[in-house]
Amino acid sequence: MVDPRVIHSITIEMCTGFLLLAGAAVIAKVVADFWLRRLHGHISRFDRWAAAVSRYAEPASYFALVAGVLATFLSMVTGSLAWPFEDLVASSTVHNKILLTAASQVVFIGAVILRTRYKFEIWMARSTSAFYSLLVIIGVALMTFQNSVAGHLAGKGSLLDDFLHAVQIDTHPIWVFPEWASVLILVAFPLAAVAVGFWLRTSKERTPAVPAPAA
Amino acid sequence: MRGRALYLILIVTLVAWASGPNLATAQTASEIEIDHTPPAIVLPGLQVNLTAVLTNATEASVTWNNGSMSSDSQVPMTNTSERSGSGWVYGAWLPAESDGVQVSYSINASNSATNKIMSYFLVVSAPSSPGLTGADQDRWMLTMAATMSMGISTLAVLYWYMGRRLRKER
Repeated sequence: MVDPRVIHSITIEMCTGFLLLAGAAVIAKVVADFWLRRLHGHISRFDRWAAAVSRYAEPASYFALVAGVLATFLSMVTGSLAWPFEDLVASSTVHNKILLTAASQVVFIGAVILRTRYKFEIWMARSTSAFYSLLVIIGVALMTFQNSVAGHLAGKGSLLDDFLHAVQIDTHPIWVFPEWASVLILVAFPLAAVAVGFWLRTSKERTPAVPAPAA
Repeated sequence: MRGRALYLILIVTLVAWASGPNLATAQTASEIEIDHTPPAIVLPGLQVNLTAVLTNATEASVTWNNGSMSSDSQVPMTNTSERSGSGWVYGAWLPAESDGVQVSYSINASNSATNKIMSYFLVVSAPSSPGLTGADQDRWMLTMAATMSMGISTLAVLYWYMGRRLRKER
């Protein structure tokens, strides 16, 4: 019988690897697109490389994103089996890790939904491609942070410890908002989202149709 | 082409026939089983007692490393003369470690015909604090709900915005 913690380690490697690949591929795509838009024609060899990277990095990032999200669900299951329930409930560090994992998973699922809905077109407008890239990069940052917290749980520490100490982030006490702030966020954000959605819809209706060019 | 394929099938069949029964006999006669669960609580500064139930093994050892050693160390496992099911209970002690150390180890059991190695790890940790209070848990649940609300609302806005922006682009 294989130790469940070994299986959990394997699934963590899988989801971290896939999601890091997704982040790296998105960054490569952004850099390649920037070159093609702004610096095209300066160095012909770089033009060819940028075109190739732009073509291959996008599907690679989408595949890695989907695989990473699925592997994260798997690692959640193996993680809950690997540690006794009493330990999970009693540890504040575990609560912090779960919070970060859930946040990064929501961001990655959002990125998958956006990419699946709008397909390659998401890269056609600068603003949409910028928001999508930012979303994936925020997800990778949250995932890196939660892996650092997990390093403390495994008793190995983390390479980010010096940085976390410098910015005075302690991963040991439980991270909670004041109750009033949680309630405010819980109510205000969905209301604000609905208001913005309504505004986007009505501003579209108000936009006058562009007249067809004269023949 | 067809002759070659037939020749290949013949060789594979002969090999399977020649090796199959022997392997099966060897496995049933001396297959080693290792039944071991890493200790759930390992306190800092205390030796670690490892026990395992070994079936069909005559010798066993533990190879371990605490992560800071340049090479693995090995200690023998002793048969405690205690029977458990169809096997025997074997035991070994690992040296004391400090808090937070993760020890990886493998149990290597052997007999005259074969051997088997299984790998495990354990974490040395001081007893945890009494734990979180019910109020802490409630506040954490509220924080989790607020975080999810924040994330999902932001994503919803992005979804609508991108749809509108891309329709304009077409």
